[in-house]
Amino acid sequence: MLALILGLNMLGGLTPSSRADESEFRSARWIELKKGLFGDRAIQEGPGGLIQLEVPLRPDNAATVPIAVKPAVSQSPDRYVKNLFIVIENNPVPLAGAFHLTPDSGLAELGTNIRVQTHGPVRAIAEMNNGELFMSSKFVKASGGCAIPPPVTATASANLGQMLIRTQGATILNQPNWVQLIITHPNHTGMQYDLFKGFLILAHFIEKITVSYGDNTILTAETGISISEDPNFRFYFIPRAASVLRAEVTDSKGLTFSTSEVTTKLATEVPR
Amino acid sequence: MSLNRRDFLKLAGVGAALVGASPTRAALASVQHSIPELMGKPKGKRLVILGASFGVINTALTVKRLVPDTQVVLLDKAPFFISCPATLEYLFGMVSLDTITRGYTSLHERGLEFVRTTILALDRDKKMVVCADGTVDYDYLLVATGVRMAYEDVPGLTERPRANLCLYDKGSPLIDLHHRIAAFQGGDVVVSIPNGPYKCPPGPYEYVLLWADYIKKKRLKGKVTMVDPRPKPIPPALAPGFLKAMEANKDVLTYHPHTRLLRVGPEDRMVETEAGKLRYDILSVIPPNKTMPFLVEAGLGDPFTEVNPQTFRSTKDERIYALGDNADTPFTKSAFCATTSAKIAGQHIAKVLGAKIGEPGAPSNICWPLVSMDSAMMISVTWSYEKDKEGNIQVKSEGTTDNEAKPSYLHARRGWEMGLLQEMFSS
Repeated sequence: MLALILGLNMLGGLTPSSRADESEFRSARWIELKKGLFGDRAIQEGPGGLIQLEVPLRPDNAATVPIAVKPAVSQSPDRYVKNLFIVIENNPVPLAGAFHLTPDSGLAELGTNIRVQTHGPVRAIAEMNNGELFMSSKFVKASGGCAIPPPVTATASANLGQMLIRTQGATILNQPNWVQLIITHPNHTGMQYDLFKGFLILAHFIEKITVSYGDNTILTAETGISISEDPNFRFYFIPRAASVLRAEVTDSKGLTFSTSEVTTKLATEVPR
Repeated sequence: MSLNRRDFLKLAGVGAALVGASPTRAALASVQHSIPELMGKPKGKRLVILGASFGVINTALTVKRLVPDTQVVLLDKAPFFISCPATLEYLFGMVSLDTITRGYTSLHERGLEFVRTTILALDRDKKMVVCADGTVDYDYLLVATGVRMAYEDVPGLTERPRANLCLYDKGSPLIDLHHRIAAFQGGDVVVSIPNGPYKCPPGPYEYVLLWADYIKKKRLKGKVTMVDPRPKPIPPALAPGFLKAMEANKDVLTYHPHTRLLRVGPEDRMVETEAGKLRYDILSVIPPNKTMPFLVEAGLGDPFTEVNPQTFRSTKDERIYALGDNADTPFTKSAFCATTSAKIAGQHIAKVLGAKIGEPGAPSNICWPLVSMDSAMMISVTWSYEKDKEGNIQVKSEGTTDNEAKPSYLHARRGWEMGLLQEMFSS
C-alpha cells in the first residue's frame, strides 16, 4: 500500500497544490490523500484527541523541522497504537513515514526531523489495533526543505550508513525505555542541486528501518524523502529481559546497514 | 475549537499568573484609573515604540526624519543601550563594556523621546500602553521588545535559578558571565540550545568555539560540551565551517548533535542529557525563546507576534507594527537584519503617516560568525518579495557564504557595528 501511496503522490506533486485553509486545515489535497491512505474511514481529531503533534510554527531550518508525536495513553495489549503516519501535506511526497508499533512499545511516542517544502499542515495519524483513527495537525510555515542543497562535506560518503543507537542510562525491565537511533545518511530527495557540478542529485533515501531487541521486533518503519538528512528517531520500548538492541536499515539503492549490536546495561535497582 | 478574544485573554491570564510574569489585564483594569498619563497629548500623531534596542532606534530616526511633526516615544526598562552583536566579544574580554554601551540622552537631541519604564500591558481598544509609571496613548505602535527567555520550559531550572548563565540575558547576567569567564581557572562548561527558533542562530556555536579557543590560549584544564538537538550547526550553509572548527578544537570541545537537554539536576552541578549525565562548573542553557506575555495577552500572536513580512504590520491590528526577534517573519533573527528591516518598517510607518516616498525594499542580512578569538566566517542573505499565481506574497532568499575563517571578517564585523552605533547615537 505504501509504495502505491508514494508513487501516487509523486505524480500529485507535479500539479500545483491547492492552498490549505489555515484555520480549518481542510484542503482538496488532504481529502485526496486521506482517501488514498484510509479510504472512507472516519478520523477523530481535536484538542482532546488521543495523540498530540508538537512542531514549531516557524522552524529555523525547513530541512530539519523537529516533530514529536505524543500519545495521551500508554500502550496496553487491549488498546494500542498499531501504526503512526506522518503526513506533510504540501510536500512532493506527503507521506514522510509509516511507523509500526507493538504493545511492547510501552509509549507510542515518536520524535524525528522532517523536511517541509511549502507552508501547510503537518499531520500525525495514529491507527489503533481496533482500526480507530486519531489525528493531530499543526500548520507549519517553512519552505524549501526538500530542495535546500546539502552542505559540502567530504566525509559524508565515507560515513554513509554509520549508526548510533542509544538508551538513556541503564535499561529498566518492564518499563518503557527511551531509545534514539541516528543514521548517517544524506537522504537525498532528488530535488537538490549539486552546487558545484550543477545538476540534480539523484534521490537516495532510507526506505526501511527495523529495530529489534533480542528476537523481538520493537519498531519497523517505511520512510521517504521527507525525512531530514542524517535521519534520527526517538521512541520507546519495554524490555522483558537483558538482551541486545539492533537496528537494520535499507536505503533506496538497496544498500543495507546495521548497527553493531548494543548490549543494554540493566539498572540494578528500579529508581523511584 | 475556536477561542474568542475574551476566552483567549482569560486563558492567557491564567498562563501568566502561573509563570508569575505579568499581571492580568483584568487586574490592571481595576487599578487603571489610579495610573496617571505619562505624557500630555502631542500636536501631531504619536508613534510609541516598545523597546529601544538594536535596530528599532533606526525606525525611530527614519520616521522622525520623514515625518518631523510625529512624536516618537521609545519605552524601555534598560538604563542604557548595550550593543548585542558585541556580546560574545565582551564576554571573552575582546572589547570593553564602555565601547559597546551608549547612553540614551543623544536620542533626545535628535527629537526622539526616551522614557525609562517597565511595560505592563497593552490595551488595544483604548490604544494605550500601560507602564509601571503611567499610561501612554498611541496612534501607531511598534512592538520591538525582543524575546523572553522561557526558563520555566527547562525542567529543573526554576528550582535552581542561579545555576544558569545564559549569553542572551541582557544586563547584569551578561556582566556576571563575563567575570566568571575571566576568573575561570579550569573545569567543565556545558552549553545547550533549544529546538525551536532562537535569536542569533550561530551565536551558541561561536560561544563554544570561543570557549575552546580561550581555554587553549590560556592553557587551562577546561572542557566544553555542547548539546544540540539539531543534526548539525545552523545556519545550514555555515555548518561545514563550524564542524571544521569544532574538529580542530576536539581536544577541549565535545559536540553532541541530535541530543537534547532533559533537565538541570537533580544532583548539584549535573545536567541530564540524551547523551548521558554531564557535570558542569559553568552552565549556559539557552531556553526556548518566546514573546512577552503582555503581547500574548493582547492577542497579537503566540509564540511570536504575527506580521505581514512585507510591511511588518500586525495581521491582527492595523495600528500595530512589529519587528526584530519577537516578530514572526521568515527573516533571520540577527542584528543586521533587525537594522535593515527597522529602516523598512520606518518607511512603511512614515508612508501611513503621510510621507510621500517610494515603495520600501526588502531586508538583507550579513553576519560574521566568530570561530576563534581572531577570525570569523561570513554569510550574507538578501530577500525579495514575489507574487505567486494566487496573488500571495512569497519571500525568496538568496545569499553567499564563506566557510573559510579570516581575521578581515572580524574587522568588518566591528566596523559595521561601530558605524551603526555612530549612526544611532551621534548627535
